[in-house]
Amino acid sequence: MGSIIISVSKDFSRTPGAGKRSEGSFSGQEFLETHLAPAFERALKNSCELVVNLDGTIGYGTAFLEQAFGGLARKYPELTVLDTLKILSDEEPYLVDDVTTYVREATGS
Amino acid sequence: MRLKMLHRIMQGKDRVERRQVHRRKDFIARAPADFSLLQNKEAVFRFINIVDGLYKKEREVFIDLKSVHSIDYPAILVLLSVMARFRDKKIRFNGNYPDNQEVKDKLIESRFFHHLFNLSSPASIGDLKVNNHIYTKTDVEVDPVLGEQIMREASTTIWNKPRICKGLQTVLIELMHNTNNHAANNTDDKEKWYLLVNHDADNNKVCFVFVDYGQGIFESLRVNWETIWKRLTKRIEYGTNSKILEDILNGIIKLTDTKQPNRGKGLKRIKKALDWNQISNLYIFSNDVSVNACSADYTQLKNSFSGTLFYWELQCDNLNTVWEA
Repeated sequence: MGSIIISVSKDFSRTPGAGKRSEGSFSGQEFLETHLAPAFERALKNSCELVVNLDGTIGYGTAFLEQAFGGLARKYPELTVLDTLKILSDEEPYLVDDVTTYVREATGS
Repeated sequence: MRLKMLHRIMQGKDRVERRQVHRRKDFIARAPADFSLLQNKEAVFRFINIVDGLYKKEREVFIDLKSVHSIDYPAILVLLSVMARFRDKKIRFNGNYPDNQEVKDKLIESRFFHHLFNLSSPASIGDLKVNNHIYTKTDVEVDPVLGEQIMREASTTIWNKPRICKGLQTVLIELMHNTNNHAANNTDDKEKWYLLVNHDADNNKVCFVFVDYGQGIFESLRVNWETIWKRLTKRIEYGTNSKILEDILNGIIKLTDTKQPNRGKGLKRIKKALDWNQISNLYIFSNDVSVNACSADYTQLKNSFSGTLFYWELQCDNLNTVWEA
Protein backbone atom coordinates (compact mmCIF):
# COMPACT_ATOMS: atom_id res chain seq x y z
CA MET A 1 0.00 0.00 0.00
CA GLY A 2 1.52 3.38 -1.00
CA SER A 3 1.14 6.69 0.78
CA ILE A 4 0.01 10.14 -0.09
CA ILE A 5 2.21 12.68 1.68
CA ILE A 6 1.39 16.31 2.35
CA SER A 7 3.47 18.81 4.29
CA VAL A 8 1.91 21.76 6.09
CA SER A 9 5.03 23.92 5.74
CA LYS A 10 5.85 23.07 2.11
CA ASP A 11 2.36 22.72 0.67
CA PHE A 12 0.42 25.26 2.74
CA SER A 13 2.28 27.67 4.98
CA ARG A 14 5.31 27.96 7.23
CA THR A 15 3.13 30.10 9.50
CA PRO A 16 -0.12 28.27 10.18
CA GLY A 17 -2.59 30.53 11.94
CA ALA A 18 -5.89 30.32 13.75
CA GLY A 19 -8.80 27.90 13.44
CA LYS A 20 -11.41 29.43 11.17
CA ARG A 21 -10.97 31.47 8.02
CA SER A 22 -12.76 34.39 9.68
CA GLU A 23 -10.11 34.48 12.42
CA GLY A 24 -7.16 35.21 10.18
CA SER A 25 -4.85 33.98 7.47
CA PHE A 26 -3.53 30.42 6.99
CA SER A 27 -6.28 28.95 9.13
CA GLY A 28 -6.90 25.32 9.95
CA GLN A 29 -10.20 25.52 8.12
CA GLU A 30 -8.44 26.74 4.99
CA PHE A 31 -5.87 23.94 5.26
CA LEU A 32 -8.64 21.39 5.69
CA GLU A 33 -10.61 22.62 2.69
CA THR A 34 -7.73 23.20 0.30
CA HIS A 35 -5.27 20.45 1.19
CA LEU A 36 -6.23 17.97 3.88
CA ALA A 37 -9.73 16.94 2.82
CA PRO A 38 -8.86 16.59 -0.90
CA ALA A 39 -5.78 14.52 -0.04
CA PHE A 40 -7.85 12.39 2.34
CA GLU A 41 -10.38 11.74 -0.41
CA ARG A 42 -7.58 10.61 -2.74
CA ALA A 43 -6.21 8.35 -0.02
CA LEU A 44 -9.62 6.76 0.49
CA LYS A 45 -10.10 6.30 -3.25
CA ASN A 46 -6.71 4.65 -3.61
CA SER A 47 -7.02 2.69 -0.36
CA CYS A 48 -3.76 4.09 0.89
CA GLU A 49 -2.41 6.00 3.84
CA LEU A 50 -2.37 9.80 4.12
CA VAL A 51 0.78 11.07 5.78
CA VAL A 52 0.67 14.63 7.07
CA ASN A 53 4.04 16.10 7.93
CA LEU A 54 3.76 18.82 10.58
CA ASP A 55 7.48 19.69 10.63
CA GLY A 56 9.02 22.81 9.18
CA THR A 57 6.60 25.43 10.47
CA ILE A 58 7.42 28.01 13.10
CA GLY A 59 4.75 26.66 15.45
CA TYR A 60 1.07 25.77 15.75
CA GLY A 61 -1.90 27.08 17.65
CA THR A 62 -4.31 24.53 19.07
CA ALA A 63 -7.21 25.97 17.08
CA PHE A 64 -5.44 25.29 13.76
CA LEU A 65 -4.92 21.64 14.57
CA GLU A 66 -8.43 21.20 15.94
CA GLN A 67 -10.13 22.82 12.98
CA ALA A 68 -8.00 20.88 10.52
CA PHE A 69 -8.00 17.40 12.01
CA GLY A 70 -11.04 17.67 14.22
CA GLY A 71 -12.75 19.15 11.19
CA LEU A 72 -11.72 16.13 9.13
CA ALA A 73 -13.24 13.84 11.75
CA ARG A 74 -16.47 15.81 11.61
CA LYS A 75 -16.64 15.10 7.88
CA TYR A 76 -15.61 11.44 7.95
CA PRO A 77 -16.09 8.60 10.44
CA GLU A 78 -13.61 8.76 13.31
CA LEU A 79 -12.28 5.24 12.75
CA THR A 80 -11.80 5.88 9.05
CA VAL A 81 -9.76 8.96 9.86
CA LEU A 82 -7.65 7.18 12.47
CA ASP A 83 -7.03 4.24 10.13
CA THR A 84 -6.08 6.38 7.13
CA LEU A 85 -4.22 9.28 8.70
CA LYS A 86 -0.63 9.18 9.86
CA ILE A 87 0.99 12.21 11.49
CA LEU A 88 4.70 12.90 11.20
CA SER A 89 6.08 15.36 13.74
CA ASP A 90 9.72 14.87 14.67
CA GLU A 91 10.15 18.47 15.80
CA GLU A 92 7.14 18.39 18.16
CA PRO A 93 6.39 14.72 18.89
CA TYR A 94 3.58 15.63 21.33
CA LEU A 95 1.52 16.90 18.36
CA VAL A 96 0.87 13.32 17.26
CA ASP A 97 -1.11 12.64 20.45
CA ASP A 98 -2.73 16.07 20.25
CA VAL A 99 -4.06 15.37 16.76
CA THR A 100 -5.35 11.95 17.81
CA THR A 101 -7.19 13.62 20.69
CA TYR A 102 -8.71 16.20 18.38
CA VAL A 103 -9.94 13.47 16.06
CA ARG A 104 -11.42 11.45 18.93
CA GLU A 105 -13.07 14.46 20.56
CA ALA A 106 -14.28 16.03 17.33
CA THR A 107 -17.77 14.71 17.57
CA GLY A 108 -17.91 14.81 21.34
CA SER A 109 -17.17 11.14 21.79
CA MET B 1 -25.47 95.75 59.54
CA ARG B 2 -22.04 94.75 60.82
CA LEU B 3 -21.73 92.25 58.03
CA LYS B 4 -22.52 94.83 55.39
CA MET B 5 -19.80 97.11 56.74
CA LEU B 6 -17.35 94.26 56.74
CA HIS B 7 -18.11 93.54 53.11
CA ARG B 8 -17.61 97.21 52.15
CA ILE B 9 -14.28 97.28 54.00
CA MET B 10 -13.22 94.13 52.31
CA GLN B 11 -14.12 95.46 48.92
CA GLY B 12 -11.99 98.52 49.62
CA LYS B 13 -8.91 96.67 50.79
CA ASP B 14 -6.51 95.82 48.03
CA ARG B 15 -4.58 93.39 50.18
CA VAL B 16 -7.52 91.15 50.76
CA GLU B 17 -7.01 88.14 48.58
CA ARG B 18 -10.08 86.75 47.07
CA ARG B 19 -9.59 83.03 46.84
CA GLN B 20 -10.35 81.84 43.39
CA VAL B 21 -11.57 78.35 43.22
CA HIS B 22 -10.34 76.66 40.12
CA ARG B 23 -12.97 74.17 39.31
CA ARG B 24 -11.17 71.42 37.47
CA LYS B 25 -13.24 69.44 35.09
CA ASP B 26 -10.76 66.59 35.06
CA PHE B 27 -10.18 64.06 37.78
CA ILE B 28 -6.59 63.60 38.91
CA ALA B 29 -5.62 59.96 39.01
CA ARG B 30 -2.32 59.55 40.83
CA ALA B 31 -0.22 56.56 39.82
CA PRO B 32 1.49 54.59 42.62
CA ALA B 33 5.14 55.47 43.14
CA ASP B 34 6.05 51.85 42.48
CA PHE B 35 4.27 51.47 39.16
CA SER B 36 5.59 47.96 38.55
CA LEU B 37 2.82 45.51 37.91
CA LEU B 38 4.89 42.41 38.55
CA GLN B 39 6.09 43.71 41.94
CA ASN B 40 3.18 45.85 43.07
CA LYS B 41 0.13 44.39 41.35
CA GLU B 42 -2.57 45.41 43.84
CA ALA B 43 -1.65 49.12 43.76
CA VAL B 44 -1.24 49.15 39.99
CA PHE B 45 -4.61 47.49 39.39
CA ARG B 46 -6.28 49.74 41.94
CA PHE B 47 -5.01 52.73 39.96
CA ILE B 48 -5.99 51.19 36.61
CA ASN B 49 -9.49 50.48 37.92
CA ILE B 50 -9.87 54.10 39.00
CA VAL B 51 -8.94 55.25 35.52
CA ASP B 52 -11.18 52.64 33.94
CA GLY B 53 -14.04 53.77 36.14
CA LEU B 54 -13.58 57.31 34.89
CA TYR B 55 -13.61 56.04 31.32
CA LYS B 56 -16.91 54.28 31.91
CA LYS B 57 -18.37 57.50 33.31
CA GLU B 58 -16.82 59.40 30.38
CA ARG B 59 -15.01 61.71 32.81
CA GLU B 60 -11.97 63.70 31.84
CA VAL B 61 -8.85 62.47 33.58
CA PHE B 62 -5.39 63.78 34.40
CA ILE B 63 -2.86 60.97 34.82
CA ASP B 64 -0.38 62.04 37.47
CA LEU B 65 2.89 60.15 36.98
CA LYS B 66 5.03 62.76 38.73
CA SER B 67 5.95 60.64 41.75
CA VAL B 68 6.53 57.36 39.96
CA HIS B 69 10.04 56.08 40.79
CA SER B 70 9.73 52.60 39.33
CA ILE B 71 7.87 51.26 36.30
CA ASP B 72 7.72 48.03 34.30
CA TYR B 73 6.54 47.18 30.81
CA PRO B 74 3.36 45.36 31.91
CA ALA B 75 2.23 48.52 33.71
CA ILE B 76 3.09 50.66 30.69
CA LEU B 77 1.10 48.45 28.36
CA VAL B 78 -1.94 48.22 30.64
CA LEU B 79 -1.95 52.00 30.98
CA LEU B 80 -1.69 52.37 27.21
CA SER B 81 -4.59 49.98 26.67
CA VAL B 82 -6.77 51.94 29.13
CA MET B 83 -5.84 55.39 27.79
CA ALA B 84 -6.39 54.27 24.22
CA ARG B 85 -10.03 53.77 25.15
CA PHE B 86 -10.27 57.44 26.17
CA ARG B 87 -8.67 58.41 22.90
CA ASP B 88 -10.92 56.20 20.80
CA LYS B 89 -14.04 57.52 22.46
CA LYS B 90 -12.74 61.11 22.27
CA ILE B 91 -12.89 61.62 26.04
CA ARG B 92 -10.41 64.32 27.03
CA PHE B 93 -7.37 63.31 29.03
CA ASN B 94 -3.99 64.68 30.00
CA GLY B 95 -1.09 63.86 32.26
CA ASN B 96 2.44 64.65 33.34
CA TYR B 97 5.83 63.03 33.07
CA PRO B 98 7.52 61.28 35.99
CA ASP B 99 10.11 63.44 37.74
CA ASN B 100 12.42 60.43 37.83
CA GLN B 101 14.50 60.70 34.66
CA GLU B 102 15.09 56.96 34.28
CA VAL B 103 11.38 56.23 34.52
CA LYS B 104 10.59 59.05 32.13
CA ASP B 105 13.11 57.72 29.61
CA LYS B 106 11.71 54.20 29.89
CA LEU B 107 8.20 55.46 29.28
CA ILE B 108 9.24 57.48 26.24
CA GLU B 109 11.38 54.68 24.77
CA SER B 110 8.50 52.27 25.08
CA ARG B 111 6.73 54.50 22.53
CA PHE B 112 3.78 54.79 24.91
CA PHE B 113 3.19 58.41 23.90
CA HIS B 114 3.73 57.73 20.24
CA HIS B 115 1.06 55.08 20.19
CA LEU B 116 -1.29 57.01 22.38
CA PHE B 117 -1.21 60.20 20.34
CA ASN B 118 0.09 59.42 16.86
CA LEU B 119 -2.10 56.61 15.61
CA SER B 120 -3.90 57.79 12.52
CA SER B 121 -7.33 56.53 13.52
CA PRO B 122 -8.96 54.70 16.39
CA ALA B 123 -9.32 51.62 14.23
CA SER B 124 -5.75 51.62 12.99
CA ILE B 125 -4.55 48.15 12.22
CA GLY B 126 -1.12 46.74 11.55
CA ASP B 127 0.82 49.63 13.01
CA LEU B 128 4.03 47.76 13.70
CA LYS B 129 6.74 50.10 14.83
CA VAL B 130 10.28 49.34 15.65
CA ASN B 131 11.98 51.18 18.44
CA ASN B 132 15.54 50.48 19.48
CA HIS B 133 14.28 47.61 21.56
CA ILE B 134 10.49 47.55 21.51
CA TYR B 135 7.65 46.69 19.18
CA THR B 136 4.05 47.54 19.81
CA LYS B 137 1.12 46.56 17.74
CA THR B 138 -2.61 46.63 17.97
CA ASP B 139 -4.76 44.41 15.83
CA VAL B 140 -7.84 42.31 16.06
CA GLU B 141 -7.01 39.30 13.87
CA VAL B 142 -4.77 36.33 14.47
CA ASP B 143 -1.64 37.19 12.54
CA PRO B 144 0.79 34.28 12.33
CA VAL B 145 3.18 36.18 10.03
CA LEU B 146 3.73 38.79 12.73
CA GLY B 147 5.00 36.02 14.98
CA GLU B 148 7.64 35.07 12.43
CA GLN B 149 9.04 38.59 12.33
CA ILE B 150 9.01 38.90 16.11
CA MET B 151 10.68 35.50 16.45
CA ARG B 152 13.43 36.42 13.99
CA GLU B 153 14.24 39.63 15.83
CA ALA B 154 13.91 38.20 19.33
CA SER B 155 16.13 35.23 18.57
CA THR B 156 18.72 37.47 16.96
CA THR B 157 18.84 39.54 20.16
CA ILE B 158 19.42 36.40 22.25
CA TRP B 159 21.48 34.12 19.99
CA ASN B 160 22.85 36.63 17.47
CA LYS B 161 21.09 34.81 14.65
CA PRO B 162 17.50 33.84 13.84
CA ARG B 163 16.30 30.67 15.55
CA ILE B 164 12.94 28.90 15.50
CA CYS B 165 11.19 29.10 18.85
CA LYS B 166 7.97 27.18 18.37
CA GLY B 167 6.71 27.82 21.85
CA LEU B 168 6.86 31.56 21.26
CA GLN B 169 4.73 31.29 18.11
CA THR B 170 2.25 28.99 19.82
CA VAL B 171 1.80 31.39 22.73
CA LEU B 172 1.33 34.38 20.43
CA ILE B 173 -1.27 32.60 18.32
CA GLU B 174 -3.17 31.31 21.35
CA LEU B 175 -3.35 34.79 22.87
CA MET B 176 -4.41 36.51 19.66
CA HIS B 177 -6.99 33.79 19.14
CA ASN B 178 -8.33 34.16 22.67
CA THR B 179 -8.84 37.89 22.18
CA ASN B 180 -10.42 37.42 18.80
CA ASN B 181 -12.97 35.01 20.19
CA HIS B 182 -13.39 35.69 23.89
CA ALA B 183 -12.73 39.25 24.80
CA ALA B 184 -16.01 40.85 23.81
CA ASN B 185 -19.52 40.08 24.92
CA ASN B 186 -20.60 40.25 21.34
CA THR B 187 -18.30 38.35 19.03
CA ASP B 188 -19.09 40.82 16.27
CA ASP B 189 -17.41 43.51 18.31
CA LYS B 190 -13.76 42.46 18.40
CA GLU B 191 -11.49 43.82 21.09
CA LYS B 192 -8.00 45.06 20.33
CA TRP B 193 -4.97 43.36 21.70
CA TYR B 194 -1.65 45.00 22.52
CA LEU B 195 1.76 43.38 22.38
CA LEU B 196 4.92 44.92 23.75
CA VAL B 197 8.23 43.22 23.03
CA ASN B 198 11.25 44.46 24.93
CA HIS B 199 14.67 43.39 23.71
CA ASP B 200 16.86 43.26 26.79
CA ALA B 201 20.20 42.60 25.14
CA ASP B 202 22.09 43.38 28.35
CA ASN B 203 20.42 40.45 30.09
CA ASN B 204 20.26 38.28 26.97
CA LYS B 205 16.51 37.93 27.00
CA VAL B 206 13.39 39.26 25.35
CA CYS B 207 10.32 40.14 27.42
CA PHE B 208 6.77 39.99 26.08
CA VAL B 209 3.63 41.60 27.42
CA PHE B 210 0.26 40.83 25.91
CA VAL B 211 -2.84 42.71 27.04
CA ASP B 212 -6.41 42.67 25.96
CA TYR B 213 -8.75 44.90 27.87
CA GLY B 214 -11.81 42.79 27.31
CA GLN B 215 -13.69 40.75 29.85
CA GLY B 216 -10.98 38.54 31.21
CA ILE B 217 -10.88 34.76 31.27
CA PHE B 218 -13.65 34.19 33.82
CA GLU B 219 -16.13 36.70 32.51
CA SER B 220 -15.68 35.26 29.02
CA LEU B 221 -16.41 31.83 30.40
CA ARG B 222 -19.47 33.07 32.22
CA VAL B 223 -20.95 34.91 29.26
CA ASN B 224 -20.20 32.44 26.50
CA TRP B 225 -20.26 29.03 28.06
CA GLU B 226 -23.32 28.74 30.21
CA THR B 227 -22.99 25.01 30.62
CA ILE B 228 -19.40 25.29 31.78
CA TRP B 229 -20.18 28.31 33.89
CA LYS B 230 -22.80 26.39 35.83
CA ARG B 231 -20.11 23.86 36.67
CA LEU B 232 -17.55 26.47 37.49
CA THR B 233 -19.81 28.34 39.85
CA LYS B 234 -20.04 25.30 42.06
CA ARG B 235 -17.51 26.73 44.46
CA ILE B 236 -17.61 23.74 46.74
CA GLU B 237 -16.56 21.48 43.91
CA TYR B 238 -14.11 23.75 42.07
CA GLY B 239 -13.02 26.37 44.56
CA THR B 240 -11.99 29.93 43.85
CA ASN B 241 -11.17 31.43 40.47
CA SER B 242 -7.49 31.03 41.22
CA LYS B 243 -7.97 27.30 41.84
CA ILE B 244 -10.10 27.00 38.70
CA LEU B 245 -7.43 28.67 36.58
CA GLU B 246 -4.76 26.45 38.09
CA ASP B 247 -6.81 23.41 37.12
CA ILE B 248 -7.48 24.74 33.62
CA LEU B 249 -3.79 25.46 33.03
CA ASN B 250 -2.82 22.01 34.25
CA GLY B 251 -5.50 20.27 32.20
CA ILE B 252 -7.42 19.01 35.22
CA ILE B 253 -10.57 20.85 34.21
CA LYS B 254 -11.31 20.03 30.59
CA LEU B 255 -13.49 22.61 28.95
CA THR B 256 -14.74 20.25 26.26
CA ASP B 257 -18.46 19.90 26.90
CA THR B 258 -19.40 22.89 24.81
CA LYS B 259 -20.41 23.03 21.20
CA GLN B 260 -16.99 24.45 20.35
CA PRO B 261 -14.49 21.70 21.04
CA ASN B 262 -11.31 23.75 21.12
CA ARG B 263 -12.21 26.07 23.97
CA GLY B 264 -9.79 25.99 26.86
CA LYS B 265 -7.03 24.04 25.12
CA GLY B 266 -5.12 27.24 24.41
CA LEU B 267 -4.50 28.11 28.06
CA LYS B 268 -3.28 24.61 28.80
CA ARG B 269 -0.95 24.78 25.79
CA ILE B 270 0.54 28.06 27.01
CA LYS B 271 1.31 26.45 30.36
CA LYS B 272 2.87 23.49 28.53
CA ALA B 273 5.15 25.90 26.67
CA LEU B 274 6.52 26.92 30.07
CA ASP B 275 6.73 23.34 31.37
CA TRP B 276 8.65 22.24 28.26
CA ASN B 277 11.12 25.14 28.53
CA GLN B 278 9.90 26.77 25.35
CA ILE B 279 9.32 30.05 27.23
CA SER B 280 10.25 31.34 30.69
CA ASN B 281 8.89 33.38 33.55
CA LEU B 282 5.17 33.27 32.78
CA TYR B 283 2.75 35.54 34.65
CA ILE B 284 -1.00 35.79 34.06
CA PHE B 285 -3.42 38.35 35.42
CA SER B 286 -7.13 38.13 34.67
CA ASN B 287 -10.21 39.22 36.59
CA ASP B 288 -9.38 38.47 40.24
CA VAL B 289 -6.58 36.00 39.61
CA SER B 290 -2.84 36.53 39.63
CA VAL B 291 -0.55 33.71 38.51
CA ASN B 292 3.19 33.26 38.73
CA ALA B 293 3.31 30.03 36.81
CA CYS B 294 7.00 29.34 37.54
CA SER B 295 6.51 29.30 41.27
CA ALA B 296 2.98 27.83 40.93
CA ASP B 297 1.66 30.80 42.87
CA TYR B 298 -2.06 31.24 42.14
CA THR B 299 -3.55 34.02 44.22
CA GLN B 300 -6.69 36.08 44.39
CA LEU B 301 -6.40 39.77 43.58
CA LYS B 302 -8.18 42.24 45.87
CA ASN B 303 -8.23 44.67 42.94
CA SER B 304 -9.54 42.84 39.89
CA PHE B 305 -8.38 43.44 36.37
CA SER B 306 -11.20 43.28 33.87
CA GLY B 307 -8.95 42.30 30.98
CA THR B 308 -6.22 39.71 30.59
CA LEU B 309 -2.47 40.21 30.77
CA PHE B 310 0.22 37.68 29.97
CA TYR B 311 3.90 38.29 30.58
CA TRP B 312 6.65 35.91 29.58
CA GLU B 313 10.25 35.85 28.48
CA LEU B 314 12.41 34.18 25.90
CA GLN B 315 15.82 33.36 27.38
CA CYS B 316 18.96 31.81 26.03
CA ASP B 317 18.31 28.39 27.53
CA ASN B 318 14.80 28.06 26.03
CA LEU B 319 14.35 25.45 23.31
CA ASN B 320 15.21 26.61 19.83
CA THR B 321 16.10 25.05 16.49
CA VAL B 322 17.77 25.99 13.25
CA TRP B 323 16.11 28.73 11.25
CA GLU B 324 15.72 27.47 7.72
CA ALA B 325 15.04 30.06 5.07
